[in-house]
Amino acid sequence: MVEPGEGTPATVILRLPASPAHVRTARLVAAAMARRSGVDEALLDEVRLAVGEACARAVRQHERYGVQEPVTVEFIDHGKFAVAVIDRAPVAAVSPAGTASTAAAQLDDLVSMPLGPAAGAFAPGAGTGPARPDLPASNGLNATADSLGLALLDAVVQDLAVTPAEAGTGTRVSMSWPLED
Amino acid sequence: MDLTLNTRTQGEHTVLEVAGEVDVYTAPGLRDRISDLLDGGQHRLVVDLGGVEFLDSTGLGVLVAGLNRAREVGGSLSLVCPQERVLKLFRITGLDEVFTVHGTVDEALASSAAG
Repeated sequence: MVEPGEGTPATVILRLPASPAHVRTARLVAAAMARRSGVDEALLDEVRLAVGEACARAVRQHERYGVQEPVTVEFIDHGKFAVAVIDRAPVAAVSPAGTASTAAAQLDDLVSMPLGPAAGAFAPGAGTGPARPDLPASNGLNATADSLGLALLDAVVQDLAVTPAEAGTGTRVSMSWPLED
Repeated sequence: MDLTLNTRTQGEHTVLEVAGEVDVYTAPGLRDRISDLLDGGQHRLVVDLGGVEFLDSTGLGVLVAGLNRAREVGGSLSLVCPQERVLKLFRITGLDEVFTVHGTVDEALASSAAG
């Protein structure tokens, strides 16, 4: 088997239809790429989780805004294993400060509430509207998942950056993991 | 087949066994099943995550929604989570403080009966 020369970046780019069904595909490719690049086996679960969360978030954003374009996932093996997930949804959708830490802080407020009577506090506007007889509609559930997803990303990725996409509308979620010596 | 859901009745409890991958694609199936159980009058749920290979934020969100809904109808929803890798997700998100998490189904049933 011929390995690329040391220092030669190997880049794999996935273009995923913005459908929940394809997020699993991104996770599988991420784990395979990470393993091949030389990421410690013990970190593969985190890679799978982080890439899955970033892609799930991107797909939810595309669905929320009716964006038809695919989600792009870049894997770059160059000194470290870097992954970027790029969506094309309006940037206003990102949390105001655009950082995962902020979202995690917001989550702290949210999870401290469900034990009380305001059990539906996860959904935007909960507490002002009538009590919901059913599980939250998909919008409320998506908001919950967004907060939880960013908290997970923030916790499992040491090197996380959320920035506007380079070209056009959208957000780029970048993360990386070290390679074994 | 990414997600398998099985239910069985044990005394006044309903044990919902979840196996496979719970993610943005499969979580709606879990949400619907929990909703159906609660609608059907099965208000004391034990969700067994022992067979879960992958769980993401959508799955966590569905469990939170299920817990909230169970409480609204005067019921309960407790979790069985023997796997450290899954348990870790609850700790990271602070949800281990929100849910009652047990190591085995027997423990969950005993605890719930005592309470």
